[in-house]
Parts: sequence; C-alpha cells; structure tokens
Amino acid sequence: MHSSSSTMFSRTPWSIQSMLVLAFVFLWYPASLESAQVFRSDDPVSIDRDNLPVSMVVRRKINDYDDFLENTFFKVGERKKQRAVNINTLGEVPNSSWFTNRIGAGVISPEQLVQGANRGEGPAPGKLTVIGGKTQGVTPGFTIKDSLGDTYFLKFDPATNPQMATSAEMISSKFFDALGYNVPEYYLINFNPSDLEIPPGATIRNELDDRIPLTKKFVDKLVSKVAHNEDGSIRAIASKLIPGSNVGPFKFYSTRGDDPNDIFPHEHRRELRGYYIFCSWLNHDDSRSVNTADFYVGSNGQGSVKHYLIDFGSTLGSGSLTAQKLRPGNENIFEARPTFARMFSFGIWLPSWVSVGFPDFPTIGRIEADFFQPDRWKPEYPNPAFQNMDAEDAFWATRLVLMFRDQDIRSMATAGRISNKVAEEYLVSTLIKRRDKVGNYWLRQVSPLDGFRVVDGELMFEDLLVKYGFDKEMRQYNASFASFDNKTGAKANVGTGSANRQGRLPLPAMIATAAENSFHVVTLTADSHAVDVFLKSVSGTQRIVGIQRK
Amino acid sequence: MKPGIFLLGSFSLVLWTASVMVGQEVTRAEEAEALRRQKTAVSKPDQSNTIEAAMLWVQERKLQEKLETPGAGYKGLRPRLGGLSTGSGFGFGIQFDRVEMLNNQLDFSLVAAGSLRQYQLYQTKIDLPRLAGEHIFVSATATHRAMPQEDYFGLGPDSKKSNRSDYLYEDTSYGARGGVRPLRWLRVGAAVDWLQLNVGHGTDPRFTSTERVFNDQNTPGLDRQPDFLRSQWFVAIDTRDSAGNPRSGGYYAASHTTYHDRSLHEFGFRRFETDLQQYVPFNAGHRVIAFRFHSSFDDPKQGQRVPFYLQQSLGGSNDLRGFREFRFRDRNQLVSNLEYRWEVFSGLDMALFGDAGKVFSGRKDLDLDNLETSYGFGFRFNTVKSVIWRIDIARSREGTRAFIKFDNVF
Repeated sequence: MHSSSSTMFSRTPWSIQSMLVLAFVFLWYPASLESAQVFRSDDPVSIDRDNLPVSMVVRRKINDYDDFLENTFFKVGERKKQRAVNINTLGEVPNSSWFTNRIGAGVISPEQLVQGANRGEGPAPGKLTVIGGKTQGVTPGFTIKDSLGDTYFLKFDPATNPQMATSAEMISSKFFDALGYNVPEYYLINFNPSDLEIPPGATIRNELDDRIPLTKKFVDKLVSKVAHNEDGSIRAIASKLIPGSNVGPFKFYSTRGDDPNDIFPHEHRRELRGYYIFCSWLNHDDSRSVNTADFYVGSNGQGSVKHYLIDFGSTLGSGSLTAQKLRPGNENIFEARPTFARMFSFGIWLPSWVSVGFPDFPTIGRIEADFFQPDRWKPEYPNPAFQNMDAEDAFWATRLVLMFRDQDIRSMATAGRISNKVAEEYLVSTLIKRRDKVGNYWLRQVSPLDGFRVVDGELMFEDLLVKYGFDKEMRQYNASFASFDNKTGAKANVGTGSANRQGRLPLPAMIATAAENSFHVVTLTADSHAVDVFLKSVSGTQRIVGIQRK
Repeated sequence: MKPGIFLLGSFSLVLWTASVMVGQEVTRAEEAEALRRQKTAVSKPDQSNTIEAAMLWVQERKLQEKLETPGAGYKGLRPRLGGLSTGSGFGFGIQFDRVEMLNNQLDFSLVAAGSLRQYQLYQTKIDLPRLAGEHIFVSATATHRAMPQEDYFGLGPDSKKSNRSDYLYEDTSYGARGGVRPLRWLRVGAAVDWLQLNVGHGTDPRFTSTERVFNDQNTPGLDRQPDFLRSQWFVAIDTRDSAGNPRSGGYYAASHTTYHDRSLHEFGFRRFETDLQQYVPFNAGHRVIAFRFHSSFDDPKQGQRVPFYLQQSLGGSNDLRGFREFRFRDRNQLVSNLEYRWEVFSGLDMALFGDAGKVFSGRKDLDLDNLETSYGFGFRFNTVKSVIWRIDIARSREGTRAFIKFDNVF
C-alpha cells in the first residue's frame, strides 16, 4: 500500500497528530537508511489487516443538518491531488474491514450475485413480534423478532409507489455487496397485519422519545400509511440486525480517532473515492454519512470495527417516500452558481435536468440513462471523498462496474420482485445503458489497459475500451523499457518497442533474462495516456508487481 | 492519563518500533501494523465541534419536535411564538395540548399569549377532527382577544393615510363548528358562536385614538357595541397538493355568515365571502403561477349598519402588500394576487407578485375601476410541506413596505 505521512491524519487533534508525525519519522528512519525500496517483499498486498483488537470504541452521532452544512459550506478533509493511500502497488484495494473484493476477484455466478450478503432466508415463517417502531416521517418502520428470535427492521413502500423503495433497496444492496462493500442482509417479505404480534405490556418510543404503549391500534395506524398489496397484505423489506454493536456512522473524511485500525484518511481511501462511480451508476444520491454505520464486532476488548453502507431506499428511481425528484443526481441541495443564476434570472434560467422525461412506472420511480452524464452526476451534497476522486480511482471503480454483464444485471433486478415486467425490463436496460456510459467516459480519462500478464516473454494486456465494445480496435501502443532501481526509484532507459494490436508486447531479452530480484518498468503510451507496468524477476520469470496509470 | 505519561508511553512505543526495525526490510503489513499500534496509544473518541455538539444536543432532546408537536413539550406545555393578529408585534405565550384522547378522537388545547404591543389572546378549544374515519369534524372554542392598537384610517377607498388612528378592539366568543368531509377534497359545514365586543381607547402613543378623529356617524359602531349571535355555513373544495406550500391544484371556498345583533338591534348584517386560489405548475413544478381572488360583500339588515370593526380591510402582508395593515376598510372588498414563484434551491423560492384590490360601499362600485395596486418580490424559505418564513418587499403609491412573516401569503 502507498501511504502518505503528510495526509494521513489531517483532522486528528494536534497532540495526536504531532505524536504520529514523530512516529512516522522513527518508523521511516531505518527504512530510509537501509531499505527505502519502492516495492517491498510482500507487494502487492491483497489484505489490509485492519482488525487488530480495539479495546473500546465509543458510539458517535452525526447530526443531519450539521453534516449538510459542513459538507456544503466548508471544505472538510484534505483536498489535494493525491493518489489514494490505501491501495496496493497494482492500484487495487486490498480486502479490509471496509471492502472485500468480490466481483473484482473473479466472475461471480448470477445466483451468487442475487444471494448477495444474505446468509439465510429472512424472517422465519410464523408470527412476527413487534419490539420497536419508528413513527417519524411519512413511512413508518418496525423492529421485529421472528419465530427464531432473529431481529429485523421492516421498511415499507409509500402508498403512491408500491414496490418502488423496497425493490430499489433490495437491488442496490446486491450491487454494493457484489462490488465489495459491507451491507446488511436484506429480504423482501409479504405479511398480513394479523401476523404482527404485540407482546403484552410492550412499549415503544415515539417521535418525541416518549415511551408509549405499543398497541395493535397503534401498529394498524402506522401500516395504514404504507402501500398494501391487492390481497391486503403488506410488502416490506426486512434488514437483518447487523452483528455487533453499532458505534455510529463514519465520515467521508479524516479517520476515526478511537479506532487505531483506521489509519487512512477516508477522503483518500480508494473505495470511498470510487464509491462516486457506483453511486452515479445506481443513482444513490443519498450516499452520505448518515447512511453508513460502523459496527464493533467481536468480544469486548478483542473486537474491531467493521464499516457498512446502509439504507439504499433512495437509489435507482426511488426517492424513498416518492419517486425520485428531478434534482437529485443532477444538482446538490444547495449550489451557489445555479442558485444565483436562478435568483437573478428570475427563474428564467432553467437547468437542463428540469426538462428530462421519464416513463410512468410507479414501481420504478424515476431513473433514466439518456440524460445521465457520468461525470456530472451529483449526490445530495458534496462528499470530500468524491471530490478527491482522480482518474485512477475512477478507472478502478469503472472496471468493477463493467464486470456486471447484461445477464448479471438482469438477474439482480429480479431480486426486487417487480411485478410489472415491462418496468423491470426498463430498469435493466437503463442500468445497462448507464453502465456503458460510465465505462465509455471514465475509461477514456486514463490508460484503459488492463489484464497485464507475462507469457512466454511477452507482456500481454487488453484494452478495456475494446473489450467492452466502446472502441472497435486497439490503439497502437508504443513502449519504452527501463531498468528500475527499487532502492532509489531511479529509471534507466534500455530500449523501446511497440505492441501489436492484439495486446502483445515482446519483452527485450535483457528483461526476460534479467537477474533475480531485478526490476524493470514498461511504459505503454497511446494518445495522451500512459501506464507503467513494473516487473520483478522471480525465479526466471517476470512477475508484475506494480501498475501506475498516468 | 496525564500528558507527560501519555507522551512518554507513546515515545517508548515509537522507539521500540523503530529499534525492532533497524537493519531489516519493513514490509507493508509491518508498516501498517506499526502505525496502528502507535495510534492505539493515542486513540481517543472524536469530539464534535461546537456547532455539531449544539445541533446534537437539540436533536437528542427532540427540542424541535417538542416545540412543534401538539401534546408535546413539558407535560403538554410548550412555548408559542407568534400567532397573534396582524399588527400585534412580536408575540409569545404558552400553549397546553392534550391530543388523541378518547380513543384518538379528541384534542384539547389552551393558549395564553401576548405581544410587545400588549395584544392578548386566551383560547380554549375542544376538537374532534377525526370522527367517522375523518369524515366528520366538530369543535368548540372559547376565545378572548384584546387588541389595543388596531389601526383605523376611516372608511372607504378615499380614506387618508394621514388620518391614521388606533383603537382598542376586544372580543370574547363562545362557539361551535362542525361539518362533514364526504370526500378527501370536500368540506361542508356550519358554525355558530356568541360574540361579545368592546371598542375603546387606542394605546399606540404615536397616533391619536380613533374616537378623537372619527365619530359614530362616519364610523358606525364607534360609540356602542352589541353582542352578536353569529351563524355561518361554508363549503370548501381543496385540491392543493400541500396546503402549507401548494404547487398545484386549487382551493375554492365560499361562506355565508349572518351577524345577528342580539342587544342593540342596530348592527345586524350578512356577509358572503369567496376565496379562490389556483396554482399552475410548470417546468416540472419548479415554477408556479399562484393566483388568488378574494371577495367579501356585506349586506346590512333593513335599517341597520355594518360596524366598522367588523368590516373587511385591505392592506398588509396578506393582500395589498404595498399598503399598511387595515389601510382600507369598507363593507365590500375585492382583492386579487398574482404571484410567479420560482425555486431558487430546495429550501428557497422567490416570488414576483402583484396585488390589486379595492374596498367599496355599494354595488354601483362593483367593478374593476379605481383598484389600488402594489407589486414587489419576496423570498420564501420553505419545506415541501410549508413556508417556514418569508420576506416580502412591496411597493405602492404610498411607499415601500417590507414584511418578515412566519406564514404563507395565502
């Protein structure tokens, strides 16, 4: 992993920061004298072991309004052009408490994609015992225990848009799981209000935090607001209680002060920067801190923190309580330039998103692909990690997006159990089209070469623009070869060459027969983009140990 | 932990880490682990900044909800801001609510409020708004109001701004109201109440009290005030998407009210009133044309007069915004407002508006001649459901007026 002492603890208190800077000096001291090598013996790492035992983590709270204000009107976190700090030398994100390479680690079957994070079948048949409720807002929610004693939180669809929010949450959670994030287990269920059992003497806290009796009438009143099926039953999405202790959301900048494992500033984590790409694809405009959760897992004193994404009700065409409105995804809640443009033009100036049309699918809400521009998509308010995203982050994420084949997307959409098959097909075709737009745009911002391997003295690679059909044929790539001093990082040119259009580049004999543990770098260039591929001689073969795109 | 011990401990850890590593390659995993072990020594929970801490304090105590929700607060008691009549100045008071009693049918409230200009309001209300599955509504109210600085400029469209005076208006009413709501958008009902009135000496030191400028001849009811039995029927069709901040639909209401003078038999009259509102959205609801037309016609009973204090007035933040509150007053009134509202961002709409209206005494003046007009622009800070506060700046032939109000204009 590449780490940076200058950015790692940008918002930790001064005393801690100074201690850690000091620690860095000592830590790097022997390395600078003895082994300042660029590539270490364990590169590229595939696992970031960020699960050292943590004695105690205090539950933190984030205020919605404060989160909006600080992200909208202040520059939180560190903003500078800097490569992501938690990546390995291949530019990949190692598995950690934040992220587990799933689709990125290889092909996942459609069945596995649909299974997602789920490890069971959802609430067991029988009575659902209501143990809590959420009375705030237009759509209520319940906490229930099933007959096996497992706890779930139930959420519903707005009466105006049956199936919309629950299907969006179901489908999107599958995508985010497949991409590699930690998400809760989600299950779609149908139940009759009579299936809800209320224990004698049960109470819940209402919106004023007062403890009030939980009565059948109260429950009936709550469910009366939500969408019902034609047979009177109610469709809900049941999210299983995440194991561990909820210690509050994470922020998209800085690190968590009481979690020693959290050493990489969040605004410089690749999976949080690249999260922008996934959110734009799936229209997850509500991708903010309040929809994340850290859980302390493991026994007290021996556990560690695991980071989750939660609440996908405002994704795809759903705005949770209504069909998604026109602004979300196109403009932040507040943006100075369009605000003043509208103010001083007396509203005559109209953003182009106002005139976007959508088909009338209440079960889908509003999502489209024709107007969608991958680089213009916006979350509800600025996100420091998104704003730090560079072309390499985008490439990393885009490559994962493109790994979802048409049939994968179609299979995952079925997880939403949308009864209107025309609507479902529209959603599938929209996601495919958005996926292709994401790929066609972001692959052009950096060298699109990938799949590097050395076979029989040739460096082989593929052009993702060609692989995914955005270009018809591979460009002519020029290559330069250099020896690489792993201790100093110095390069010395040793020759040039050119790859054929099948993505094969013969390596010079001096590289193919290089001494054990010697390093070389191959730079492939086409148009304005280049990629460095670092090779290390190991047992007479060339092993790829590093990739850096320019 | 004392800072010195803390520092020493951390330093020791760092030195230990460094010494272990001298002379050998540091792997990525070792490097990361060392950093984590160092952070273990100095880790501590994040502290919220002052603003966030304050917001969390409010959030955790549910203060906003407790202030806004009937029945919330301390044992049902909560402060009340504003809510007095136009021109009362900054008002505040206390409100007690009990809601959803008797099987979720009955709400009860008590209000006591005053203002910096010594306006007072005392009200108790028993409300049954959800009978028969919310198809029937009934309420009973007792109210006392004291408004010691009500402006009066004289009657008719030609009243002079320079004749501004003020008077005390007090009323006490006991009444009931009920009706049916056969459809979600239709309400039909009736109301009756007993109304006791008093008009007296105005207390605004800046202006002459009304009785010193005007007399009972040109200002009916100035000398004596009767008790009224007031009866009313009403019908309202409401297709607005949101009553508090409508962007589409309409509101069409009509009422007929009879004021029976039960003590002097001198001031009985009938009033027919209409209020029509239409909201036309365009550009996907991000722009709205809002139109309102309001009319009120008073018809005195044979040989009787309409008292000046019950006559409709024009002027102020809700109708002719370029004129002072109560600037024009007469037995009949026509007023219309046209607003072009545009969304500036999710929490703010702006508006350009024009107001036109007139008061008049007889049917011969029922036309669109001699309308008073004003125009201006405004800012509406809002949510989807309501306008939280607004600033309107309006201009008329009598100058420029600015309002900060905590309600929608209509």
